[in-house]
Formats: sequence, structure tokens, C-alpha cells
Amino acid sequence: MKQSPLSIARLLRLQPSLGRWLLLGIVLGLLTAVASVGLLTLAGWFISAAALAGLSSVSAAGFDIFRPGAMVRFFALLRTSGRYGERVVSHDATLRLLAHLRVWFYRRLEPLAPARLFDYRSGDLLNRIVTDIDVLDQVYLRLLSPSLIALIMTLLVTLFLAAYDLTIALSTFLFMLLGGLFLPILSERLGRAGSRGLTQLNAELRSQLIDYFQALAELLACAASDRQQQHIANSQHTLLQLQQRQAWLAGGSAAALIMLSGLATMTALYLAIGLFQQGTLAGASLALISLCILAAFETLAPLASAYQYLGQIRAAAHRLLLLVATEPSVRFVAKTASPPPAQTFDIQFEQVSFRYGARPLLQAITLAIPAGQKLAILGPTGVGKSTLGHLLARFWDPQQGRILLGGVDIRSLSESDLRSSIAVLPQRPHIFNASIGSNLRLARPEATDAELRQVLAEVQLLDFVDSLPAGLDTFTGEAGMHLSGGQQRRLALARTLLRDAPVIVLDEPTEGLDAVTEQALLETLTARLAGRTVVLITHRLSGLEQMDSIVLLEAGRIIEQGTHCELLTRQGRYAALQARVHTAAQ
Amino acid sequence: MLTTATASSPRNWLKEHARSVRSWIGLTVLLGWSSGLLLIGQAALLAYIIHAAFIDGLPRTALLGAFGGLLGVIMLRSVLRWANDVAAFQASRRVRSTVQRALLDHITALGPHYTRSQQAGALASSTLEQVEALHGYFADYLPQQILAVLLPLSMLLIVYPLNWVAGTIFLLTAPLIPLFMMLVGMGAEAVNQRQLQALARLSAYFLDVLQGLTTLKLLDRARAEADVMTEVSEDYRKRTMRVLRIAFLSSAVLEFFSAVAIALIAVYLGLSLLGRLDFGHYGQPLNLQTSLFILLLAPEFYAPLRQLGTHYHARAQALGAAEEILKILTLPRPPLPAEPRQPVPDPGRISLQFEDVYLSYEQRSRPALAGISFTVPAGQRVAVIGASGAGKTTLLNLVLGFLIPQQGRIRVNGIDLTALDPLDWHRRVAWLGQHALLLQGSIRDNIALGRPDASPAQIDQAARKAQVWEFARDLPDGLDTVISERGLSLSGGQAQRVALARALLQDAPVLLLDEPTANLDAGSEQRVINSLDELAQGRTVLLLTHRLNQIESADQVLLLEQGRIVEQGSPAALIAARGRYDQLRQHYYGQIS
Repeated sequence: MKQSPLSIARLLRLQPSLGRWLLLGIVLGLLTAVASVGLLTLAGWFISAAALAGLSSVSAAGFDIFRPGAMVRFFALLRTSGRYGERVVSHDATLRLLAHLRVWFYRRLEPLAPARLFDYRSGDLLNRIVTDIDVLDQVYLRLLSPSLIALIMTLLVTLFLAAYDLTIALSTFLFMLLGGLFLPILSERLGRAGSRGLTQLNAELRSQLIDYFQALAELLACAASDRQQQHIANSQHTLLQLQQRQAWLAGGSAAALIMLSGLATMTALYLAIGLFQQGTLAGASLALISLCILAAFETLAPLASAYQYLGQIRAAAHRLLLLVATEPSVRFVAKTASPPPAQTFDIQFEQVSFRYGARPLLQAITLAIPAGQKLAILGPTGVGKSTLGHLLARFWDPQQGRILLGGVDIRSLSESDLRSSIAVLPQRPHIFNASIGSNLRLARPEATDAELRQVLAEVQLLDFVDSLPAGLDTFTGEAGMHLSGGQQRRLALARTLLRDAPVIVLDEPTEGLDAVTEQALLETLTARLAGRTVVLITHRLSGLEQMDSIVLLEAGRIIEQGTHCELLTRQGRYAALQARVHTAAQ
Repeated sequence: MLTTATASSPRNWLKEHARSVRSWIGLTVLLGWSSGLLLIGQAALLAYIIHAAFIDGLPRTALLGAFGGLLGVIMLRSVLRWANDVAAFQASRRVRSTVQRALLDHITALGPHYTRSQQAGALASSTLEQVEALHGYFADYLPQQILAVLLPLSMLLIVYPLNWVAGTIFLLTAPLIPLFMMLVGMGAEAVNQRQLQALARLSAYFLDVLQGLTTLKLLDRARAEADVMTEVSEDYRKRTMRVLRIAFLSSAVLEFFSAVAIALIAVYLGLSLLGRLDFGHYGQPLNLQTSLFILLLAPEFYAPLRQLGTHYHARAQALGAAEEILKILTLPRPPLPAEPRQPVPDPGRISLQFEDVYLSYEQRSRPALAGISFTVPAGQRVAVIGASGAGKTTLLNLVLGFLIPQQGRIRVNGIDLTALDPLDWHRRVAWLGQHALLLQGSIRDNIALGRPDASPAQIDQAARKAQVWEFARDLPDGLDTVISERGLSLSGGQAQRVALARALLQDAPVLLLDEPTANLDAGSEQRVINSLDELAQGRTVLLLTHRLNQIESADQVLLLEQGRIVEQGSPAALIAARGRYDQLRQHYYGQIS
């Protein structure tokens, strides 16, 4: 995967207030590190100097114990409060970052829906987006903050030691560079393939498991469950092998850091003893230097293991950036220039052609739907019926031709104006993890309970909702009540009706309902939607006699159009379809 | 064995698994402890070198031996550290592997009736993420829990004989260790639960919004949702931080103690060396070597405890995961009938017999099937009709052996179904359900699922008959085209035809059809029905449907209502009886004319 680490930086381009929080966390972390190193360094110097002074009673009496004592206490307190402050601030900052990233990402994703997210329909891929963002949250706590602290501490310790001796400072600097820069880079390199492999294997294993659970009945009935279990066991084994490799690598880099820390201390001590014996270094500095280096290496400890997962973080950042870099398929104007004349919402398709990829879905469709008419679009699955609805909702724009609403090209309407003129019930509506009431109020936030109850009655759901313990406040979705497919569809239909739009597009509204409920629903809908322009997309032959006009779609073209009776007398395709069902009934 | 969850609480369950890998955990502790002892040795050597050079004035050359020893200790520590990580991973690996297998076994034993009532994604996450979440507990937390006691005690035993004041400062804080542990523990537990919860809820909310983005857009709420998202996140942050601010205090106490102890020891050592304090030693006044040694040990005395605090989230995580895993593992498995089980007798001609079969689900008051009796003679077609919820699917699950009747029995050629070898029985049954589920792999693999030994020619023939060929020939690799994303790349009708080819290839004497055309448009429906009619010749067929046009050719119709058979007979006889079936039929066809 080719991507610069800058991609992470791009994602982290933050608003200034958030940056200040992150910075404060780092400053506090740094203070804590300084206090930790300072405490041990000072204590080492203090007892060495005291030991030297203690050798003669004169110097012992003249030794100032108050200042070092106070400093030791100061560092001890600074370390405690610094760490507490750092933890509070950095966790707060991480939570802020989390919120920021999600909203930032959402704002960029929203214009892409649904056309560019079509490949993301399945929950798994959306899930990956969510996990990718979670992975990015760690950038600050695990990567950014420890790296900066380690870097600054390396410089500070080097400068501090340079005050004693340049060679010692340089050798320590080199060892710290090895431990803080070379080792993380190395472990990232060595861990990269593994970390990528882990992500891939995890995804593979997940889909194998989902496959297995979803198709367990088929697998058992085909006596194939053992084979599938064996596949899963193999993947699990490979995954564990790979994890083991990563664990060994992490252990290896921790071991290497112990080596480096020991070698750095030994080298510095060896050099310092030489200088002491030449008389160019005070004896008390031996302990000071050793303890300072030992403590300083502690700040490098979290780096190697964090960088082992840099690959994962980069891949996540890359995927997210790739997604938000996508051009939206449709751009809306901010404000409608010339709104269609009020209440004359007729629809016209003029020579509309639409291809999805290489597949032509609609070819030169010309269709006029007068205001207030009820039109059914009928056809077998996969011929582009739903596409007509999608074009009206501007999920896509047609490659050729145009669609007019009240004589105005729908591309000149703002998104809000289009949505309030045309309400669409999609084939797979989503019911949110919220109360039934909140789900409905998405359509009309100011709706009263009475209005909600009325629309629920219209879609034959009121009795059901009243039977629930919390009524309108009952939670639906994964966190709450499970609604059947038919109930979900009717709830979504109620939501669409609440929009109170002059044009309504219903994509298979009665799918999954039994014949009795279907019939009752179609009747109430016809009454409720009197005077509105209605487009009913269906592959069912039932209930069509109530429509003002029926359009028969095949292979992307309109092959017949007329009322139920006209089409029957024309003895064409529609009549044949109806006759076939009819014969089957005899 | 640990495969069944005998232990009731997550805590006990974790402990039980810890027992199964106690040798690996023991090894991890041993390695960690040795490494800690070596650290003490390292401190002693450092203190010796500094003292010898500074106070005794030994030349560098005289100290080369000590430097060599120091190098050896450091290298050994480094190796032990690596070995420690390796051993820790083994402990976790073994447990996770066992648990994963147990989960898969248990879910399989619970059967399709269970998996269908669950979200497949949630089950997958239980077997993946929840099991993964056990890692830190076995690899890090458990060994550290022992080390946090063992290492400070070891240091105490070494320091006390050197200087009793320093020893006492350590000793006084030593009994506080369990207290610290509790403090740190409670704090960390609250912290982690809060954080995990907040994160999980935020992620769930975010996922929900992403899944519903199209819907939000159609309702013109998509842009406004960004503000809601900001609000929700802010709310979570504030609530989480309120808890965290207090929770972090407990580890700050430990932090404070260790910092103060280091300061106290440093000051005591300094004053003793200056001769201003003269107690704590055993005759020999304190020298630099001993002082440095004690000072170097001071931070290490508290380090294992601090380490435990950082691993504490692993415990909270594992407890949470164990709870989720136990939710599945504690579900009672259906009882296994006595072995050995016999093969299906006379497999060429199979008759099915329901004898007063009764079954009710736990959560529901009304039984799903309340005393059902009927016979499907060999080679006959029986159709079962009824509204959804009448018990049709339960009936089917019983025939497939996924459910076992609570009363009564089902006989296959006179033998109780539970006495039959399930693998052999499943070979005799071809089943076509409402939603064809295809597995990842090629179309060919999917057709051959029930007969992996089928020849390519046989598969091609089945594909042609089921009209799979019609769309497969347009695909890049024909029948070898790989279906991705669980069949999303095929339409519902196409997937159904693949499943039909699967059933055709199985060539089984019993055919179970559950609304085989529910998701098909009129054109495809007719084609599938034609293929099925041909397939049904000479076989024993049980058809479940609400499309009444499909049952006219059945030998017998059963009308189910609320778990009971309310009408039974040939279609003609039922129409003549002018009962419920006739009413339903009139309604069904009345729609069209």
C-alpha cells in the first residue's frame, strides 16, 4: 500500500481548540516524565554527594540538605500531580478527538450517500468504517503523545548530560535514538506484513463465521457443516500463528530496549569513571548520570509496541481518506433559483437514459405524470423500476435527458426543496435504534403524539404499538424490540406519509405482507393520498385496478401504458400476465 | 471438560480456564520473577561499580569484571523478557483456541433454530472479538497479579538485612499493597467499563446512522444529524469524564505513595551518609554502595503494582467478554439421543408420519404446534398452508431434525426420527427455503454443497435444469464465478435458482419446499415452479406456502391455524367442503380479477 504517513496528519488536521487540548496533554505528560527522571537523578546525586561529604565531619556539617531535600519532594509531588493531570486531560482530549473525527467524517460521507456507498451496503463494510475510526482514536494516546514526549525527553537528557560531558551526552543520544527511533521503525517494518495479514485474516474469518451461522441450516441439511467447520478451524489456526509471530516480535523489541538501556547506562558509566579518574568529572556525577539514563529510557518503552501497529493505523487512515476523496455522484445547489409554481407538481421524464456501470438500466424513458395522478410502475425484478424512483430522489442523475417537477428541472432545486416536494419510501428503509416515536419524528420533528397515532392507524400499526408496554416510547432495533419485516416496512411507510409531500414514491410498500393486510393497506393508502401525485413501484399484479395509470417496464423501456381496463382490452403483455395468474387460479 | 459452561459466574469461568493453562501461567510468573531478581542483581552491580570507583578509587581496569557481570545480567534479563512474552502468549492462545472451538460447537448444537433468531454478525463477534478480549487477562493480568506480590516481597527480604529503616519503609507500605490493589482495581474497573461502554455505544450509534444514511437523506435529516452527532458525543464525553476524574484518583494515590517513599528513602539515606542520622544499620554504618542499591530498588518496589494497574483493564475486558460468551454457552443444548443411530431404512421410498407432535417455545405462552398428526405417504405431495406464525416453519425445522418435539414423535418409514443417523437422514432430504443462502466460493461449489463428489457434468446438468446457466453464462467465469459478500452480487431470484440446482443435484427421495418462490417475480416464479414440478415426480414432497396457486396439484392439503390442523384433505375435497380453505382461496384469487 503506497501512502505517506502524511495521510494520518491530514486526518488529524484539527480545529484549534482540540489542538490546544492535545497539546496540554502532551505538556503535562512531559512534566511528569521530567519529574520522574529528575527525582531519580537528583536522589542519585544527593546521596553520592552526601556520601562524599560524610567522609569528613567538616564537609558533612556544611552540607546543605534543605535545598536538595525540597527539590526531591517537589519532583515527587510534580510527578504525582503531573500524571493525574495528564491522564485526565489526555483522556478528555481523546474523547474530543473521537467526537471530532466522527463528525468530520460524517460530514464528508453524507453527500456521497447513497450512490457512492452502494458497495458499502452490507453491515460488514460499514462496520469497518466504524472500526477504522476507532483505530484512529489511538493515534494520539498511543502514538502521537508518547512519540513527542520521547523525542523531547531525548533532547533534554542529551542537553543535560552535555553539561557534564559531551561524549557521554552523544553516546546516550545515540542509544536513545536507537531505542526511540530505530527500534520502532524496525518493529514497524517487521510487523507490517503481519499486521496487514492480521487485518485481512480477521476479515476473512469474520465472513466465514457469518456465512456459517447464516447458512447453518443449509450446511446441516447438506451434511456439509463439518467441512465448513474445518475451514474455520484452519483460518483460526493461521490467525493464531500470525498473532504469535507478532507477540514474539513485541517481546523481541521489549528485550532489545532492555539491552539498549543497559548498554547506554554501562557505556556512560564507563566513560564517566574514566573522566572522574582524570579529575574532570565530580564523583557524585557517576550515580547521577547512571540513574538519569536508566530513568530516561522508561519514556521510550511504549514506542516500539505502538509502532508495530502503525501499519494498521495507516491502512485505516488510507481507507477512510480514499472514501472521502470520492466525488459525490450528485451535487445539490445551495438555494433553489426558481421554485416550481406552488401545488402544480406534475412530473415529466424527458428522454431519460441511465446506465449503472456498463449496464444500461433505463433507455430513453419519456413519461408524464400529471399532478394528482396515481401511477404504477410494473415490471419484473431487475429491470430498473427502482431506478426511476432513485432518479426522482436524485441518488443519481441520468446520463441523458432530464426530469421536470412542475416544469422545473429537479437539478435546479436545493436538496431540502427536493425532499420536501418528493417523499420516497425506499425498498429497504432503515429503522433506527431509537424509540418508535423518534423514528417517526425524523420525518416531522414537531409532530404531536396524536398525529403519530393517526398515521400509525393508517398503516395498520396502531393496535400493535398500543400493545407494547411503552407504546410510542418503545425502543426498536438491536437495542430494543425486534420488529418483523412487514412491521418495519409499515413503520417506514408511516414516516414517509408524515413528510406530507405533494409527490410520493413508494417502492414495493406491501412486500412481505400477507394478502389480507396488503389489500387493507392499499385501500387506506388510496384514501389517504387522494389528490397527491403517487408513484407506486411494484412487481405484484394485485391492486392495480385502483391506479389511474399503469406503466409496464421491461429491459429499461416502457412497453405498455394505460389504465388497468385499457391494458386488459389491448390484449398485450399486461393482459397476458394477468391472464396467466388468472388461469392459475382456475 | 471446559466446553460446557458448568461454572455459573464469569469470574469462576475465567478461573476454571486459568487452571487449564496454569503451567504456562506458572512459567510466565517464573520468568517474570527471575527477571525481577536479575534486576536486583543489576542494581547491586551498578551500586558496587559506582562505590568502588568513586569512594574506593579503583581504576577502570579493576572494574572490568564487574562491568562484564553487568553485561551478562542485562543480556539475560533481555532474553528472559522475550521468553516471558512467548510463554504469556501461549497461555492465552490455548484458552482462546479452546473457547472458540467450544463456542462453535455449542452454536452448532443449538442449531439453525437458534442462529436464525440471532444476528449472524453478533454471533461472529462473540466468537471473534469477545474471545480475543480474553487475551490480556491470561497473558498479562494473571501473571502480573502474582508478580505484584512476589517481587516486592523478594525485595523486602533482600533490603531488610541491609538496613532496617529502609526495610521498614518498604515493609510499612507492603501491607498496603493489597489495599492499593483494591484501590487501583476498583478505579481501573470503573474507568475501563465506562470507557468501553461509552466507546461501544458511540460506535453502535455511529454505525446505526451510517446504515440509515439513505433514509436520513430521504427524510432531509442527513445534514442536521451532524449536529445531533456532536451533541451525543459531547454528552458521552462529559459523562465519561465525570467518572474518570474520580477514578484516576485511586491510581494517583499509589503514584503519590511511591514518589513519597522514594523521596523519603533518598532523604533518609542522604542524612545517614552525612552522619546526621545514625540508626537503621546493624553496626556497619551505611555506605554509598548500600545506599545506591536501596535507592535503585525503591522505584522497582512499586513498579509491579503500577504494571498491574495498567493491566487491570484486561481483567474488566475479559469479565465483560466472559459474560457475553457465557450467554451463549449456558444456553441448554438439545439432548442427544442414545447412540448408535441407525441409517434410514428403505431409503428409496420414504414416508413421513407426525404423531401428536407438540412443541412450544420458552418465551411464548401459546404452543407453536399443539398436537399435530398427519402422514405423507411415500411419493405423495402434501402442502401445508397457513398465515405466518401458524407453525409452518416449526414443522419444517422438526422434519429437518433442527428441533425435537416435546411430546409425540415423527416417524420416517416407521422409525423415530431421533433414532436415525442425522447425516444419513440429511442425505435423503433436499430442502429449498425462502431465502437461498449462498456461501462464499464459486457458484459451482454452492451447487455441489450437498454432494461434493458430484462430477462437473452432473453439476452442469443441474445448473442447466435450474436455469442457473441462463445468467451464469454471462458471468466472467461462468459457473466458476466467485460469489462475494454472501450472494449480494446475485439477485434474490438468481440465488434461488442456484439453491434449486443444489436441490436437483442432491437427487434425494424427500423434498422439503418452504415458500420456494417468495422472493421471485412472476416470470421467474413460473420457471422455478416448472422445474420443481419435474423434480417432484415420484418423490415424497412437503410444500409450505401461502401462494395458493401452487398447491392445486397436491395430493393433500393441511391448513394450519395457531399450531393446529384445522382442515385436511385433497384440494378438491376442501373446496367442496366450503370451509376456511375455500374462503382463503376466494380471497386469494379475488384480488386479481
